[in-house]
Amino acid sequence: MDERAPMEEHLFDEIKRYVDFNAADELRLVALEPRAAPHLPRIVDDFYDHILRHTGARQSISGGHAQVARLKVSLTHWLAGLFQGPWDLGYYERRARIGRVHVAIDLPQQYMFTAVNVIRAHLADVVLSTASPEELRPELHAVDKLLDMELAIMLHTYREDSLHRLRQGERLATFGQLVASIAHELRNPLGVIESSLFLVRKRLDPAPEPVARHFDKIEAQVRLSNRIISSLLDMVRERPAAPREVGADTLCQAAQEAVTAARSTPLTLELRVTPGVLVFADPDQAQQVLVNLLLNAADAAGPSGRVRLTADTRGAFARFLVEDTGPGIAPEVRRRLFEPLVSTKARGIGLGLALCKRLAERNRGSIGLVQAELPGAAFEFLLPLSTGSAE
Amino acid sequence: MSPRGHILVVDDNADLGENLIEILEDAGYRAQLFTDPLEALGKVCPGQYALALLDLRMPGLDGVELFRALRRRDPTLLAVAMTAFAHDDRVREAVDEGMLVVFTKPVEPSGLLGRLEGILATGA
Ligand code: HEM
Repeated sequence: MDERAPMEEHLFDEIKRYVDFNAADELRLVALEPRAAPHLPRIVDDFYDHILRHTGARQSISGGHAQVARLKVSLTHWLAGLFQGPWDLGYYERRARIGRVHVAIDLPQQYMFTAVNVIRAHLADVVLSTASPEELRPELHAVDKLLDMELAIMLHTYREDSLHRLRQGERLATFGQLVASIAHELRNPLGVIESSLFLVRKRLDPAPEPVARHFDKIEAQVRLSNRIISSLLDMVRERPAAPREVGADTLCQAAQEAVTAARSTPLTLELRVTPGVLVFADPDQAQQVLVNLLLNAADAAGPSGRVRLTADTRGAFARFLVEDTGPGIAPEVRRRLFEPLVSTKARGIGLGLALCKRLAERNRGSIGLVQAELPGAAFEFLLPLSTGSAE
Repeated sequence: MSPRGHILVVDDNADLGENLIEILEDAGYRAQLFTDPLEALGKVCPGQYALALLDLRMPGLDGVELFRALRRRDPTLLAVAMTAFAHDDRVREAVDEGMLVVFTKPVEPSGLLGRLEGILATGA
């Protein structure tokens, strides 16, 4: 066998070369198929029994019996596929796609080892009870090699995902540096405009009417530009949290005022705040998160929609729930919603929710998408309660 | 001699520097601009200025280094800093070195004048 790895070798070829999966193995798998087929339903049942018995693994299957029934059908096909081949790139792609389904639902990758082993043990039994003495070892070997390959493919899909996240993080770091340097560079020309305006105003005081109006406009726009620069810098900078005790009601009211001020169109915002809830968090950062969530909700709800902000407690946490009557979040962006540069809005640059998540975490809280009463999206923002909170 | 003292301005952005001079002169100060920190260092004489207004990021010599060098020549010189980078390491250095205020650019003119007046009146 040629041990050199060609430059463009596909991962699957590399895996096959590594476990030395060859044509003889393929023939043995094909030969094993009719003997394995009758056992597949039993293997599948046992496979899911294992998962459902495991307190951790069970969590990943939230859809009850219907989902298990569906998964059993999928797994039966998957098992049948083991013996059918061809074990080519198409095979790899089909298997990798299933791996990506597991990644997408955040299934912990360590479960894959045990799961594959359940199948390995069953197929070994089939081989041991059906193979001729001289085929016993080679057949066991063929099954082992193939299951190792399956495991390698599954783990590779997890690796793809972490590489993706890593690149995303690097992209943000580079992007953040770029944003910061542009923002800083803009401060200089703005400083010149601002000071020139100051001087012209003094030289022309009082200014005749249309001129004065333009002066006001220039001043307002320069101020706006400065604010945009500051918020951009806020987004890309890691400002540590300065936590203190603050009332959930205070935060909600401040957020409501900020949102009302920031929007040109009116907003139907319903506040449901449980009195006496005290959080321990950086008030500016907490408010920044709430404002961001509310502005998103308002955008999603549209002019005729509604937004509701609820504040209460969940265990040791204060819970802020922001709901809207908008269209909700599309399933395909749900998982990556809090990653930077993933935007659900045509106008967004996709930093808002990523920033919210980081601010929440910096305050030992969390943020997530939940199911709630209103038909649109619902975000749950948790912050640690202050010990002084009323129960 | 102006009753309000002589102010040294060093900023590599000439447009901004000229505006600052104009604002200071309007307020009754005498003020001189250098856009090159090394040139400023070569030309400044001890006792010439009551206060220096220095940009922190400049090519050649940054504001803190310039202040250090000026102060060696004129130990009583008061100084304030300006920077577009509020989170610059130099901001800390500037304060540690004894610069009295660090203004974030864009520097708001009336705020600047108010602070300078206070500093020149009390020396702090
Ligand atoms: C040898 C290991 C495993 C194999 C071969 C396997 C196979 C499959 C297959 C074929 C699908 C269907 C993918 C699709 O086309 O949509 C699937 C989905 C899924 N698997 Fe696995 N699986 C394995 C391990 C696990 C484990 C250990 C768990 C849970 C602890 C799990 C939970 C799920 C869930 C929740 C789904 C998606 C559910 C859905 O679409 O409703 N799997 N798996």
